[in-house]
Amino acid sequence: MEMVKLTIDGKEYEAPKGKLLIEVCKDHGIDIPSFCYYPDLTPQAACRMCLVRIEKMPKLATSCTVTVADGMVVTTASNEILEMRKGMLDFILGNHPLDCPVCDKGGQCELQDMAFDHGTVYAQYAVNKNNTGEERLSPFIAFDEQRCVRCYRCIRVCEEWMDVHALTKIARGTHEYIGFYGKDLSCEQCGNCVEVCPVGALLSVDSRFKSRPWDMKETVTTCTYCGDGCQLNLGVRGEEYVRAASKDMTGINGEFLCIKGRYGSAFISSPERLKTPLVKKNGQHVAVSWDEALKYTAEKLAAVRKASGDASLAVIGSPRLTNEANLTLARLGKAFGTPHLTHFRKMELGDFWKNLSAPIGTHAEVQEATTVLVIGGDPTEESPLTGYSVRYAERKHDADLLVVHSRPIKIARRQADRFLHIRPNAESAIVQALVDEASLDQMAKTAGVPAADLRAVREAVHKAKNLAVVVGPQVTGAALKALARLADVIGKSDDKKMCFLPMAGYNNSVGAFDMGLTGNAADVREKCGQAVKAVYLVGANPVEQYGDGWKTALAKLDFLVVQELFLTETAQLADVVFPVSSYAEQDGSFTNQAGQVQRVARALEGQGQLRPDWLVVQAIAKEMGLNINAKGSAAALLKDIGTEISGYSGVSFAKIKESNGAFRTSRPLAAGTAFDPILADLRKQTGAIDTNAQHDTRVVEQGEGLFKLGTMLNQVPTMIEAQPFWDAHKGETAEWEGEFVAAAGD
Amino acid sequence: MSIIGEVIDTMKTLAQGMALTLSYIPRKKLTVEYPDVPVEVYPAYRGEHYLARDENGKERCVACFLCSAACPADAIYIEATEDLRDYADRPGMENRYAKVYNIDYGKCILCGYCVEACPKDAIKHGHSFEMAVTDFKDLIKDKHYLLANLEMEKKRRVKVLSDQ
Amino acid sequence: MELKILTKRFGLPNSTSIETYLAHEGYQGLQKTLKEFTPDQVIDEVKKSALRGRGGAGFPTGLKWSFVPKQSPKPKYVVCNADESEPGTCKDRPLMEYDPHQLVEGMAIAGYALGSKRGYIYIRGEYMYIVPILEKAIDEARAKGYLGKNICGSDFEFDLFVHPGAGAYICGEETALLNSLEGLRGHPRIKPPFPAVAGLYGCPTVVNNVETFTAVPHIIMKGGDWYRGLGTEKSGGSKMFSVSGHVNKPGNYEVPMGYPLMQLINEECGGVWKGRKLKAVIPGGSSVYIMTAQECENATLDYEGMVKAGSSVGSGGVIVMDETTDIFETTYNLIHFYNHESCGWCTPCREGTDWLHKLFKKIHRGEGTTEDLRMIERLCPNIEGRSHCPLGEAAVWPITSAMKKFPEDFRRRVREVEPVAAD
Repeated sequence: MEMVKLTIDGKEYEAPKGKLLIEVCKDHGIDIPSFCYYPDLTPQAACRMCLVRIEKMPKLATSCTVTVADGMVVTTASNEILEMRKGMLDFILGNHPLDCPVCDKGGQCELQDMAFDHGTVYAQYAVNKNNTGEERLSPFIAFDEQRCVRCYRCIRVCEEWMDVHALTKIARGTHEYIGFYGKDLSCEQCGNCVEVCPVGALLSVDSRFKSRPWDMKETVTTCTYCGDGCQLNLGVRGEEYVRAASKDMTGINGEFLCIKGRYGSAFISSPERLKTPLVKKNGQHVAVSWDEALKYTAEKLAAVRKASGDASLAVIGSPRLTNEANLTLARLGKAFGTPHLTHFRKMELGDFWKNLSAPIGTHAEVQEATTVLVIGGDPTEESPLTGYSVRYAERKHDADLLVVHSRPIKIARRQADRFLHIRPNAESAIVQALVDEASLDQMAKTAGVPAADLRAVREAVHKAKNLAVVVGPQVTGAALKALARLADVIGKSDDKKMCFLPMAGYNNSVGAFDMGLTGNAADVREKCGQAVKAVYLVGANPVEQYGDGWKTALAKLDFLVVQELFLTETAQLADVVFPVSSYAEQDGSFTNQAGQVQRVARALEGQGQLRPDWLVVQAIAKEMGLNINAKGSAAALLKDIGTEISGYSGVSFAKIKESNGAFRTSRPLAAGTAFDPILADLRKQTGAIDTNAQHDTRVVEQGEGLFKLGTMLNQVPTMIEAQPFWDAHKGETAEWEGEFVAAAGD
Repeated sequence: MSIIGEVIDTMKTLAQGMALTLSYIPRKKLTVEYPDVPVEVYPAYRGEHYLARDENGKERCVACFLCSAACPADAIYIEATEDLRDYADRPGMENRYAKVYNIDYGKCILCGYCVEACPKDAIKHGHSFEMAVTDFKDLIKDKHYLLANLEMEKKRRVKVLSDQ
Repeated sequence: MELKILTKRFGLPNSTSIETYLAHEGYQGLQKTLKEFTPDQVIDEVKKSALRGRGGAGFPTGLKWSFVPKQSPKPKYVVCNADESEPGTCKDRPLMEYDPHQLVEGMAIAGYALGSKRGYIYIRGEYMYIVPILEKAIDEARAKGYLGKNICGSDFEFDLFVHPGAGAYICGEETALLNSLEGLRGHPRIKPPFPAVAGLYGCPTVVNNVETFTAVPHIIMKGGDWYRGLGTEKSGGSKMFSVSGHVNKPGNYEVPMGYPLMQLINEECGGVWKGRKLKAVIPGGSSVYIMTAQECENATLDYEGMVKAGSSVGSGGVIVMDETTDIFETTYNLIHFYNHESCGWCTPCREGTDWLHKLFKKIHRGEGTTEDLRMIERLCPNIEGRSHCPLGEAAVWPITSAMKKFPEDFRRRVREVEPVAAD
């Protein structure tokens, strides 16, 4: 990179050419106040706080728009500049309500800080203010016009980060304010606008008035919803959850969060949480002590094992649990000697790992990719950070974006350079066309897409210099295996980079697989009541999620143990229910879908007699007299993971911290196994596609995935309150964007 | 020294001492016949706090937490809440007000930092010093007690001297 | 001595029709251009003419045209700024209303010089009735082969479109105009890049005033030297001035550059009305320094002359005020306008004009003090030179100059108080 020399305040510095002056100053510790400048957003030059004197320029120049040039002489701290800053602050404070005592931002407000640093101490504004009230834009976001400094960060975040375009400027001049299209703020409700707001103009409704920044204990932890594994800062006051924030964070997601990450954690403090162990006596759940419950469970399990053999026990883990919990469950299953050791999942990652021909890419690598193929799955709704990363690649360097989906998803409608609108369940046909050119025309017919488009996609994928393949859960069976072999098919070379990013679905989908819970859950359901007599089920609610088949199956059991946060439909069937810590109440780690191990940190103690999952499992094993190599802490268990699990070599809390919060696991690439059997399977799979099926042209509604409530979100008050709001907005996306017409296939 | 000299010396000392004692008999008495007579305190006396109301009787406190932040003894606990009704209907001066406002007089050192920190002149020092209780947990005074404290003070055995 | 160059077809019957236009040397400039000139020669001729932008800033037109990158593979655009919203200026209106073909011809020549195929006329919303006139003229020109493909038998292609704005003053700023033309909010853009490099839809664009374009056919017909000869060395040609206010005959007058200001007021406009004395003149639309009667004495109407006299030509809206005028009320009126028209993008202009307006309002109500005047003096330098676009400066200039030049009009309105000590 070309470097230039410039002088700032009499000192000479070197900086890369083309970098913004304000960034260069910040790099070198020279403080330039600013509101509208924000890293990664387009410059605005609106707040005028960052004006500096540059020699040979007639007026003061905004350092947030000027790029550094050789020989530039800059003054950032003369009397003139300081007076100017005071003046600008006077202007901004002029109409400001100065209601810091009631403002939730008070204490971490950029305007407050700046007024302390630069401003005059008394208000000079001796004329009437334009008073306006506060407004609820949506169930999640409130707006106070008078506090707004019009830096437009929120609007840019909404447009550039999120591609939602919900916020806009309304009216003109002094009366200009941040508003929205339509009758209320119908958007993804990600709250990123609230996060970047320098003042208390945009505020979260859910944490309203609950605490003050200095009164909160903040803990950095990993989100418990999708597989992206965003880092978030849980704010807790006393023993009560207050908010999740991402300001000034440097994890894999930076300051990005989605609605679930930001507003979905209030379930921690829900009064519905289980507080004591429950044992079913005469058909009723009765609260008992831990000792009694553990003893009872151990006796029952031992009895079943003795009567019906090792294989009569099943252990079902969950992709929601920490690696440590899943490790102890796997150890328990092995100690039982049962083959039924599994977890519920959306994607058969095991098949994927075995055929992996290119490494799993991080979100940062997806952001750098020059070609991105999204096949099956909707990143915007299911994996928001992956969606953000794909959009980032498109926004920052105009990556070639290829989307394959059976419905017009958002990135397909808005960003995709090429969208293959396939028939339902025809993803495998596209995969076959990618790996087997000879069948391309036929596959185009099968999938119902124009052959020319499919050829162009194949070409783009094969010629890509830096390819990221985002694989959704709709790619299944042989297609998933074949897609994993894509790099081998394309042929590897030094100037070609490629990575995969599976959209696995849950926060620890990858970890649950890696810890060894690889059995088949459907198989367990079949055998319930016959070969399987007792099930040890942790952190899953199959009755609600996978239907009544599970209800009848679980009812046939002799004994069912459930570890849960809430008394779910499944827990209601259980003979014993153990109340366990949520992710915010325990230490541990999650492995995200990019294969990064991230820290789960204890933010609060939790109310009631809660214990972490791994501790409960170890206690049961001890009661049963089984040796599962019990450890006293999550840290010790993680060390064990580091020695026992391949790819996790050397992982520890310290190592995670060293690697900036995300320890990258390694996965062996499939070496030289035969591809032909997979291809044969794939042909069978594509042969079974219903070629008469109609294309599904229903536009994917905003929030179809994001606003869907599960076990945890069901306990978040704001989410429940937002239901009528969302119901009122149903069908809006289709209405606004009009009917989607895909390129017709043959 | 002779014995007579000693006697004279003793008498002299005794007379001196008694003179001082006797001189106080006609003077004004400083001892207060508390609790029969109220104690006099100066206006700036830092007694038990009270929460102020505005001219329409609305609570001045907006639950900004600044007092609890300023408190060196960590004696103040607040929970804020909001009432979106109009001024006439709601309890507080602003939409935001204190749901819970507790001062723990087991911790409080009556330093007055909270009063200084208050941006709304909502918390003030009263002049009452009768804070003794028989149960430790009664030392925690809640919002209703503190709001009523200004009125209560009139019934207490304390007299505030005028500014002059 | 009024000139009749731009205005020469004004009195003619049916002056908007192409027949009348053609009968009076119409489209001969375009034909001559296509036959005799290369694009570079056109630009050279315009440079020679010393034609300067008539919108207010007075930037040399030929120079502006030469900034457009010739090799750029992107399409180039010619945009006419007909968003004439400056208080006191109304010269573009008759130029479009009475002689629309002159503008069409000027823009076509500019299009040829710049290698552009598309032109837009951005006209202010209040001139909606002129839109059909312009569109009729464009249709006529298209029918006669002066617009469209193969103009006058050459391979030059150019077409024009009229786009009405919605009546925002800020859209007269060229980059805000381009934003508005693209369908975005009328906010000024960050400069650089300038429109000549990245303008409309990110392509090289030339934005000129109506009067600037209308002068081009005449320059081509009679030569740049002739045009320059009309005016002064650095300010060539003739210019329309819209005289309003306290004169006997207000109106639009075309005079050569360098014409004495007092002569314009006294001879063309018949002097100050009711036999009163002159008090002040705002010579270039409201966004310039106000001039005292004394400063007007020797002022000449060219760019350098007006700067020497303590103001500038601006867009040529001469506002004349007699001795009975209260300059405080004048500035109050102006700050009301600028406050209303501030787009709200940048802090100093948005908050500053609002604050100033409130202070003026307070003084107007009779509640002002000398402290308020001092506050106005303190605020103005914080707006001037700090704002995102020239609107902030335009708002401040008439105020600072009026307060300096007519202090008694302000002091009379306020109560004397002791200055408050700053911290």
